[in-house]
Amino acid sequence: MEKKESFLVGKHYLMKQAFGQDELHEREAMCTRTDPPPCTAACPLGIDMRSVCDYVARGNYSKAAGIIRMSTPFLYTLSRNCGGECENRCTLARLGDSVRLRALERACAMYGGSGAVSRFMLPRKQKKTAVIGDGLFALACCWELGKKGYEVSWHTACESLMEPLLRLGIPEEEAKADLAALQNLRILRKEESSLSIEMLEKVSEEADAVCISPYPGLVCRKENCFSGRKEKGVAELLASAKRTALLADCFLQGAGTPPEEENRESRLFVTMDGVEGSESLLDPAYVTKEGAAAEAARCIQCQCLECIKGCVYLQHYKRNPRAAIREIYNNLSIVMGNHMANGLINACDECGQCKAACPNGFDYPDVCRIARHTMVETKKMPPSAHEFALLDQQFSNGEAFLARKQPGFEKCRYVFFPGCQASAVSPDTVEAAYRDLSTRLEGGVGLILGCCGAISEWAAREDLLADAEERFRSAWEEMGRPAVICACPTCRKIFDRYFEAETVGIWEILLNLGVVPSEGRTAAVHDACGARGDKKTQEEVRSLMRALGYQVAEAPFSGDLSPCCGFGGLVRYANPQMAREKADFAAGRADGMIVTYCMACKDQFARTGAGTRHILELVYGTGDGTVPDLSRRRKNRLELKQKLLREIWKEDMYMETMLPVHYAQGAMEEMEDRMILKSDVDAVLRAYEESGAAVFDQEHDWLVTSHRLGNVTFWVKFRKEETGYLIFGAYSHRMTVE
Amino acid sequence: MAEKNYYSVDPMGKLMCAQCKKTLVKGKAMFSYMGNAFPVELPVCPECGFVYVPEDLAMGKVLTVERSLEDK
Repeated sequence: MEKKESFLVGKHYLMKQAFGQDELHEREAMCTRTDPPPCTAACPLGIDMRSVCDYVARGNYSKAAGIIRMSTPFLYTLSRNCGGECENRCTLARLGDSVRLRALERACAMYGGSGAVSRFMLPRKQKKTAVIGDGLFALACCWELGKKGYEVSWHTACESLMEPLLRLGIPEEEAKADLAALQNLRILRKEESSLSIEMLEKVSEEADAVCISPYPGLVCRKENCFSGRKEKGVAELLASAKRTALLADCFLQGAGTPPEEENRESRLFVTMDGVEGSESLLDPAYVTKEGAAAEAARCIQCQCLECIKGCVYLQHYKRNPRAAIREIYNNLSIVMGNHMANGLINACDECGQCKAACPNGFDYPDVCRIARHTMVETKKMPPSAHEFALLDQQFSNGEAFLARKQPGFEKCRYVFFPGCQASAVSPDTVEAAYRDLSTRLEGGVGLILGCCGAISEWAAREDLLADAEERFRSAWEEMGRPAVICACPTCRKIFDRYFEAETVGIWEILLNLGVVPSEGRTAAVHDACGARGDKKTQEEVRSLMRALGYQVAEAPFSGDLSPCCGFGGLVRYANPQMAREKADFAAGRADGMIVTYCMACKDQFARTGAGTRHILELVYGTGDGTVPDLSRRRKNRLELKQKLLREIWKEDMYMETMLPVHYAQGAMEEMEDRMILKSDVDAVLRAYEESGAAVFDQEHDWLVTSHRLGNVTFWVKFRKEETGYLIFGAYSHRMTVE
Repeated sequence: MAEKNYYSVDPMGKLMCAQCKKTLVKGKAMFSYMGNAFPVELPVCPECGFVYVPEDLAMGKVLTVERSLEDK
């Protein structure tokens, strides 16, 4: 990626482009969803047969005819003579009968051809054009040039506009309908007794540009003369006329030569889930309205949904990655005004499912990552989005941090790093795992409780990521640079990316050491986004499940296509509603129990009420389905540290006690939604005890006091009772008030 | 900037400063966030100047304005 530097625009606005327009176009081009479907790509005229099918299936023949007429007015002529290349390339032909597109084209003419013809014309142009020829090509050129606003002299031996169509065997009524679009165009028929080189020379002197029919094959090398190509099919001939008229138009406008026709192979990847081959429902010799509609309904409306079908986020925002990256690019490019895509950027979990699903590997999460970095650098990242999570990382690597060698070892061969979520959600599992590893592994097993830095990586805070790395590094070096046993695939990914330490998944270690099997049950495995692309880990977890006596059921979207639980990308903090939707979808994939190998996934699933366990909880018989609230998650980490220090390293740890408080019904749930911790309430009450500043609300008979902690002012509604404080609720705001 | 009322001060006088024992009155205050300041009228203690931000204001209008300023 081209490195862009930030700079000041005017006096105050820090500006930085995420990447240049060229890179935007390169990235966009990887997605094929805006490419035409195979039928349209195959059509020389590029007729949008997908939309035609859509309208016909709904019985709207005039709209369907209108789609064809957008490409050519000769609907009846084409429908009687079309080669039907679209039909040969129909996606359904791979599985059974293709959609009978030629017959549908005919049905459009029969049942929708009499509708009004759109006569959108460009303003009149002064330059004069001429067309030489007798056939359909010449007629089509007349229409192409006429609708562009030119006056057209048609030099022909034909006696009327209709003659070329009648010669093709088109009935008079149909020919009239096809010619309706040519009415009001400035087409002057100039009858010539024969088409000759002399006549051509003369016409090319009089007109500013001349289009020449390939039949009978007159050639003129003057720069204002354009000859059409000989074609066998009617559609090809109409396309040749279109191209010839375009060349003439570009010449007259001084616009240079337009590029040759594009490759007529479609790049569009077609999602075929649930599509089965079927037989055609229409007899081309007997086209009825109802029959055509039924046949059109067989069209699967070719489109690529690979990235969207398993991603709640893309479905929620009704976006596809191609459109979204342009929105993000624009969002980052504006200097003043509302950044409307901030929410879009911060609601992506950066899990990589869409990239894995994309046939071309379109890397949408990478764009979100770049965007977040740019936002942080230009100070445009909404401060409220990730602050809670970053403070949580600070807590994990501060108060709750623990690094110890196994007692009796100067250096350790391993260090166990369970990850911050494991200690928060299931501390007894961490304890059991460490006791097990330090007993059964040789060479000493150290323990580090902390955060790997994934939180700051998701928040695009390189400074805090470096802090986390430094915190880990000094402890790791002190232990003699041991191999890191990770119990979280995301931690492992972070270490592998930023750190030279050798890492190993705990599943691999436990498979080697052996586990005690329990009675056989069936459970589905949810693959963590940290293990995407890591088949070894995915397989090891399944092997461990089997070793534990479980039968592994594969849920939809497993392996590399696994959806995010809602925690990834800090969505749980930046957009809790989105995180819930993701968790519901991911947990809903399995009927029975769903086993995770990331504690954040387990926690997210437990919130949905799904039967879920982390695989280490199955190994050690620990944990349960309860969901610790935000305060409990912190307390769990501190208590685990205290317990391990006391029992394993025989050290005391001082833990601050909080003021005695009770919570009224519903108060704690409300605090959880508002991401307010019990420790915040404690700090506010301590400040109150010092200052005595509060408001007495006589209506509710409670006091309300406030205190600013960091960037947030917290308010607590309370009553002082004999046994302590009774808390009725708490709220906060980030604004300062004076 | 024109002064706007985001909150109508309780007219019944049911809010009292716990320290000064004075009924809160309508007073001028200034909300600030990300370099923007908004003059508002809020319940204020006439004695010690304690400014009260009611819950419905904090979780309603204030939150909305914070979000929009963050996206500026």
